[in-house]
Amino acid sequence: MSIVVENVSYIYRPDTPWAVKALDGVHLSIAYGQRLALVGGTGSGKSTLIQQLNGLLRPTAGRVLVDGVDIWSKGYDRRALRRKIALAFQFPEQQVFEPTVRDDVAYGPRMMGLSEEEVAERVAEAVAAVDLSPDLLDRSPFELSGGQLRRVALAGILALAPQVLILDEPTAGLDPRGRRRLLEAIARWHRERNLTIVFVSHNMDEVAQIAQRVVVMDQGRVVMDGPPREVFARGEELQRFGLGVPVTAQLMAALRRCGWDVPPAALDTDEAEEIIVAKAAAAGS
Amino acid sequence: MIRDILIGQYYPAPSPVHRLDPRTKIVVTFLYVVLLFFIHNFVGFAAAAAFTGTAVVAGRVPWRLVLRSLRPILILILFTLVFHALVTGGPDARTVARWGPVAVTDEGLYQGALLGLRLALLILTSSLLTLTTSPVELTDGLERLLLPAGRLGLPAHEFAMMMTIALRFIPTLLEEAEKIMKAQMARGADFQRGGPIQRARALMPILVPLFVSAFRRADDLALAMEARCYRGGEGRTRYRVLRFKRADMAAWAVTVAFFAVILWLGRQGVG
Repeated sequence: MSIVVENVSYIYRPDTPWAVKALDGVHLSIAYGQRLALVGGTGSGKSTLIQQLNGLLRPTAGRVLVDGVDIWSKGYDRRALRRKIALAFQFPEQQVFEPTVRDDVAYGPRMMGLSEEEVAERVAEAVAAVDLSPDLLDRSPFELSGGQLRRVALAGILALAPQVLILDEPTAGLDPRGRRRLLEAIARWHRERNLTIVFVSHNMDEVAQIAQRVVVMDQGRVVMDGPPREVFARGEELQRFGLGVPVTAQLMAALRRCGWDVPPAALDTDEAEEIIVAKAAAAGS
Repeated sequence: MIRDILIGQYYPAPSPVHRLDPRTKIVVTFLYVVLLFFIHNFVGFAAAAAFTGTAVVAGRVPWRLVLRSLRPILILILFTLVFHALVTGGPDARTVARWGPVAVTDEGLYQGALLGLRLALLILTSSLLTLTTSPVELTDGLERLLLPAGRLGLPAHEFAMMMTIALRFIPTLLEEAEKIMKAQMARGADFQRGGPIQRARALMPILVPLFVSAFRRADDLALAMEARCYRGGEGRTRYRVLRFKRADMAAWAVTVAFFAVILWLGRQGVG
């Protein structure tokens, strides 16, 4: 069971002088259960690509297959698809509109036609999943802080009970603590609900922390695809695409330049520390 | 989707028409529209169409774009034609077709065709103005043209500033509306289903966030303008100074000659 993007191209405003080719023959296959990070510079096509995955944009050329079925074939229920493959846009708090937090989180489940008991259950579950206090449920969303509002918006999406969750820069604009908590929550949803995660970002430290697979895009094409360790070992290439590598990978690269024999990429500070301590101990003895 | 809508869309091109003083273009367009109402025969409209055609070619705007502006009023033009054909009668009118009580007269077809042509040329030419003139130039020109009215108490500068800001934010708001619409669709919203009331209610999830963000934007913009010491039009100097150039003189000469011919041809056979 998977999502398969087959040779998809997408052109904004085709046949006008303002036509822009945002995707150019993209091939990508995402198996359920993965934790995938989609990275790329501004205008690389990542936001366009994620909108292809749940049928918000129709490919100019190529096909998108979900569980083997073309999502643009006749009679395909794309509303049902969007519940299965949920998408949280960048700054999702901008989509909040109901007078209370409870109603806003309940919007999606209500649109699905669930009974009020089921809706209440979904809301309670979703609010707990984003670490939001139930006391806030009857407040107006516009009284909340930015970080709380972000979590309300994400709860509204989790309440759809999706199988795949696509997040477009979910940590943008959050403070370091908000970032850390959100990343932990995402890892927890993946673990506990077996949720497939597609994580769009250009913060490489976050990507290193969350991804099992990194897909790099540039100018509407997939240019790298592999485990984070392999991708981050190719720092110079990433720089050409306007991207960086995690600080720990930068550290490893710097040590290698000084003549240390260390692996090309470390993904977090613990790993980097281990490598350096081991090296220092070997050098000291 | 929404962003394909063409509202006063500017088509940048290196053409003599683009380089003209916006005031020239605005006044010529205005006079042209007035002129259209003095034309009463096909020869006159042919001459007027030749003028618009010349401007399109000189402005290096693709025909496809100019003609596209007609799309929204196509139904109106057709309706005008049909309506005139059916209801116009008169002592000289000859019936060319008849279905029971419905009669089509030659006079009606003639009048309908003239009115349709007038509408089409009006829209084509005014959309050519916005295609060849950037919104900023347009409002600059308008402000200068309205300046004399300022002495009568009309706030010309404020009016122009309002227009500039409105024009500037139309694409932004459209883009935002599209983004919010997609975000709600991703949450299961359906904008196609149900009766009129249900559909109107389905718009709430778009309108509320759109208004919230529009007000926030307006607030930010006001603050940014004040931070840069904006305090209205009084004593403000300009970065772009409008100049009446030799090209404008030439454009005026051509226009006056053209308009004289159009008027002379268009009044033939009018008692």
